Amino acid sequence: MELKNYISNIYTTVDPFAGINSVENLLLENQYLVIIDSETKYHGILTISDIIKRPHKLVIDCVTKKTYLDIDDTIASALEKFYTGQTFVLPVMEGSEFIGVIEKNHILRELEAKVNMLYNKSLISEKAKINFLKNLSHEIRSPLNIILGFVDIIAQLDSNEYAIEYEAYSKTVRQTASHFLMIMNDLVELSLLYTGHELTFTYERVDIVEILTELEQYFSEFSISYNRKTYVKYLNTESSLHIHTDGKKLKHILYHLIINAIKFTEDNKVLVGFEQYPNDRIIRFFVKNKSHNLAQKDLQEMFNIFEKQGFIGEEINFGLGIGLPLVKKLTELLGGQIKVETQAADICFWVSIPFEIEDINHLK
Amino acid sequence: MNIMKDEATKRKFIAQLSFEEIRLPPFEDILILGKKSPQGKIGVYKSFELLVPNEFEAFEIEDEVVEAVFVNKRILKKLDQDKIMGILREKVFPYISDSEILKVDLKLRIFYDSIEGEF
Repeated sequence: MELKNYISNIYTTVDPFAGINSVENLLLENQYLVIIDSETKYHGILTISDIIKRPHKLVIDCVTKKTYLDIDDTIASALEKFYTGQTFVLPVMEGSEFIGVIEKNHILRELEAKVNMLYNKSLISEKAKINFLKNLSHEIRSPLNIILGFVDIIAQLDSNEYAIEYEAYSKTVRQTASHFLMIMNDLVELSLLYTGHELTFTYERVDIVEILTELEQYFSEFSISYNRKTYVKYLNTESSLHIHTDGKKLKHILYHLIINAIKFTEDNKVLVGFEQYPNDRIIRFFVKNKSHNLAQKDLQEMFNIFEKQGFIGEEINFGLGIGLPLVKKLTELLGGQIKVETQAADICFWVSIPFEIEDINHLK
Repeated sequence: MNIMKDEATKRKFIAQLSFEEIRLPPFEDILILGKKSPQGKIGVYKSFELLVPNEFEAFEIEDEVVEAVFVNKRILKKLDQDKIMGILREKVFPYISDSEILKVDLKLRIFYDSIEGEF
């Protein structure tokens, strides 16, 4: 909030040598008058209290000395001047030049709105934190219970006699443990980021086709739950495409976007891929799905930490609300941008990642 | 009948007439403005500058009742402003109300006890 946002150039002026009796009504209507002479020189601000304190005949004799606001004043110092000057309007000066007036109520109204907004946001954040703690219990205990349960079963199985079940249960344990590890890594990374620590990035030559193919393969074998199978379809046809970036972080970003899309898809399909923009030295990854209608408010808040939709359709949305905030942070740390677009029932996340000039040789 | 009516409604007037010379401004030495006097210091100063340019000096006063004092430069030539203000604060300010404009006559006579010299 800068002081210059409150400067008004709309005010009623009066000549310094006008008679008070000729401007009384004007003063009552406007509460204050800016005294400017025929040579546009500023002389002060006349208020009703001025003519009570100094009931003279001329405007210039009535005006009392008032402090002024400097263009470099802060909101706090301005309010201090209003308080000490016991006035509701002050002139703003830039050096010796009069540049406008500021009304105290204008600042107070905006501050009140800001305080209300922050208060409401704090209530929302408080609610989000409470939900986070509730979900944390679920998100950690569920995979651990699955792992321990299946480990118990596996321990009792004869690996020769129940080879198929042995393999299936082992796979479930591996996938659940992997998902659990991802949650723990996310929490660690987010806590590092939000406490001001820097993450380590390892830039290397990575094949993004390989990353996307691996993710497609991973999710083809992995069911998030929700009692349904979702198909993740990788759309590009390139056989390979190398860029210079942190491959693990990029995979992490895409992983979360796909998980998110799987959760919200209405037709059990998620489309992933990328578009190349060699001239802008940008690759834009996309993750699309058909989704329940998202309110504009949800679109704005989905990147806030701990914010998540309470329900997906009529099902409870489990999850910690840390995936998209982490994706946004990681994307920004890779020098990229993330945005979300909606069109009818389609929702599409775009992640733009810049690449080094040397990578152009590898692009088609 | 018409004549009688005209005589009955005929109006008369009686006026007293006299005249004398005045000078502007209507004082010569000192003018003291109360804080709530109808005229303020800027208006009065401007009028002096129009009527008797460069004859009066204005002094803004830190006082609960008095806003300003105008002193003829003739007097300031003989007595410095601190002495004049000291006299006014002690002898005049206690008697002025904040809505008044007071004119003060200050006649100065300067004399020496003895003047010595060599012939």
